[in-house]
Amino acid sequence: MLSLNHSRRDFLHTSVGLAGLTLPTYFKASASTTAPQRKAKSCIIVYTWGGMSHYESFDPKPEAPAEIRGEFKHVKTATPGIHFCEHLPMLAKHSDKLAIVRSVHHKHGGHGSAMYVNMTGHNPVGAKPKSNKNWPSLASMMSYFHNPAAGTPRAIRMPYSMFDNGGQQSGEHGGWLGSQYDPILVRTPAGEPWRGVNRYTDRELNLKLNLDKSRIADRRALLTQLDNARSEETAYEQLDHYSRMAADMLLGSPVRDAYDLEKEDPKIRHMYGDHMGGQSLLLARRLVEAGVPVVQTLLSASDLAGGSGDNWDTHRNHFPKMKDRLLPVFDRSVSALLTDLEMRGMLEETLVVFLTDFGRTPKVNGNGGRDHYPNVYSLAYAGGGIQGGQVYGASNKKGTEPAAGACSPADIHATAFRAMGIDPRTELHDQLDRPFQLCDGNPLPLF
Amino acid sequence: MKKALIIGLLLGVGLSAGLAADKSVISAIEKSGGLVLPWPGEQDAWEVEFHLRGRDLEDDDLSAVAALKTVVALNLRNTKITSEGLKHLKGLSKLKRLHLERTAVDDAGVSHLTGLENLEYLNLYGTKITDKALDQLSSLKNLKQLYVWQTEVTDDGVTKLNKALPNLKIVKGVDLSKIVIVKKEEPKPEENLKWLAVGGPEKPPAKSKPGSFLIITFQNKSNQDVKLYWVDYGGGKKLYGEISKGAERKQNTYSDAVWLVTDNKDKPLGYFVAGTKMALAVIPK
Repeated sequence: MLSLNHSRRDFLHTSVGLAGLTLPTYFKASASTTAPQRKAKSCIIVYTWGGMSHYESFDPKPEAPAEIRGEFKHVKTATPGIHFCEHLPMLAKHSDKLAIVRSVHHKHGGHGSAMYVNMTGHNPVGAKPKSNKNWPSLASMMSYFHNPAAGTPRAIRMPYSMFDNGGQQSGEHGGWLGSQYDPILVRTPAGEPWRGVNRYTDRELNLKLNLDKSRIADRRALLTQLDNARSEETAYEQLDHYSRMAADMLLGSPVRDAYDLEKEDPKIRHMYGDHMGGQSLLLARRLVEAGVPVVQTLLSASDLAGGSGDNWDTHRNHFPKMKDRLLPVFDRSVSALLTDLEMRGMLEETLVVFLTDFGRTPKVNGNGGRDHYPNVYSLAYAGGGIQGGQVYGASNKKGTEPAAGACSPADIHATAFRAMGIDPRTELHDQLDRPFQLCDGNPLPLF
Repeated sequence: MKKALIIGLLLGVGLSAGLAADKSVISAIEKSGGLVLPWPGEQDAWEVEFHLRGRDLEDDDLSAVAALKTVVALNLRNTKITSEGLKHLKGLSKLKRLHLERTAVDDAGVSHLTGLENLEYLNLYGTKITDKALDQLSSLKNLKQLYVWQTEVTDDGVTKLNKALPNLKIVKGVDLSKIVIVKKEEPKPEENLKWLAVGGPEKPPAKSKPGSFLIITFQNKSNQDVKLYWVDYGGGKKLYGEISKGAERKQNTYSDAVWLVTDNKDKPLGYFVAGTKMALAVIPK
């Protein structure tokens, strides 16, 4: 195995015998023996970028008037009384593993701010994407409490950053925790060939990660380059956080092995689906298995960028897009992920959190689409000690506002933190030593 | 500053936690790559993991784990241990969770586990066990979860064990032999798009209109490398990629989208306008 001269990083890893344990957990555990037992060791965040319609996913409204109900029917799930959209037939069989929250709401109608509040659990501060004035993302905050082995990144996100109209959005980085807590960006090396890549995302990948295009073979050159860099410590030290993390990842063999999807059983790969979404979730499972504490994925078939992309922002042609491109990918890849985690005995220790910007408007618009709707929408969890087969909260009959259990993205975060054994009230300090409380929300009673 | 503080805190935790157990016992485990963590919610209770950093762990190394008697959870996934090594686990009476997946463990190994009466979780996926192992497990009355995917265990074996232990959830997983990989056929181009050369008689629309999803196969039959731009809904240009001389690119697009082909110095050469069908777009000489 290649070994790197990591200096401070190595010091952190080798000197901390209890690496991997979350600090607040330990304090909580030692303070009270009745503290809930930590179940989740790692977290996979599945983000449906653009805003997934609650009507056409977890909260169908068969009784609502036709102009609200939309074109799709609903189906029974494995859990009596819980119905999903008819185009999630595979996922419906996994309802016993899912906790659905049907009463999330916030006040942000634009993608940027809605994404920010879902991703960070806090209101936007109006800073640029990489500014350290921003709140850290959920992935970043969770990863702060983990010290994985050298060569294993704390947090990975894929397959690229969230862009809206060519602009990168705030809320996916380390924010005031510092750029060393930025989840590192990787792209799955497989799946339906990557087409229609937004040039911004390509540039970002190439510059920030110094990863060549998307083929494993091309990575050899980078490895050689890094091997050479390694011989001169100064050169390695000069790599920025991203390059260093990329180097760590490529050189650390468990993670590098995980990244190589060619090593996965072809039948398992097939189970996830031969598209960006499926192969990303497969990669997420492999990375978690290899010890990466947090993995965030944007889920779709392929290109998420631009008006013609496969994002969930379905202002036009909502029903054909959902039926043909978006829901089948979500259905298959998420079902595969839950099946796979379960049969490997990993589901309990892996928290899966489903996030999105907001729901979609009740009335179908003149272009056959649904617009942004933050007044009420649905999110979900699986695994990580959260009880499956339950629905928390409800929207009203027309799906226009919460009817019970109204909750915020901050509450969603607090629940996720709790599953990970992290006290949401933990106070952290920014680089100027100013105190910040991790999360203002309250955990939902889903355990 | 902050980092120093964290390190200090973590070391503090390590030391104070270590007080409860013999430090030499813990360091022996750490020597073979094990990670020792306090088990949350209980005093003098430990979780020991080898699956991330201790994959070279061998049977004899398990004696170090046996010395730390109050182990509640032990993860030996994907290590080099065999059935023989499991005899060291016999005394771990507090053990609730045991990961043995993807090891060389077989039925003989499982016989060493029959006394672990507090065991609640046992992961044996990807091992060599058969129904015989399941017969031995029927004595573990507290067992709640058992994982046997990718083993020789049969449905009959599962049914039999479930009769003895009705509260046990046995996960047998997906039968991979039943998954048939069907290669999805690529949609074939149904029409050829017209090349609208710059300066030619026919002008393309100034911008794209939103439409339904389709794929265009661009073939570069010109004698140079070209760039492919999408003319967006506002008439702006977005670079989607480069197509080398003689190469082909399959491009997701929508009907009525306008695609601009330039040379590699961005000089416009011509346009294609997507129709409503999967199409072939040949960039001419």
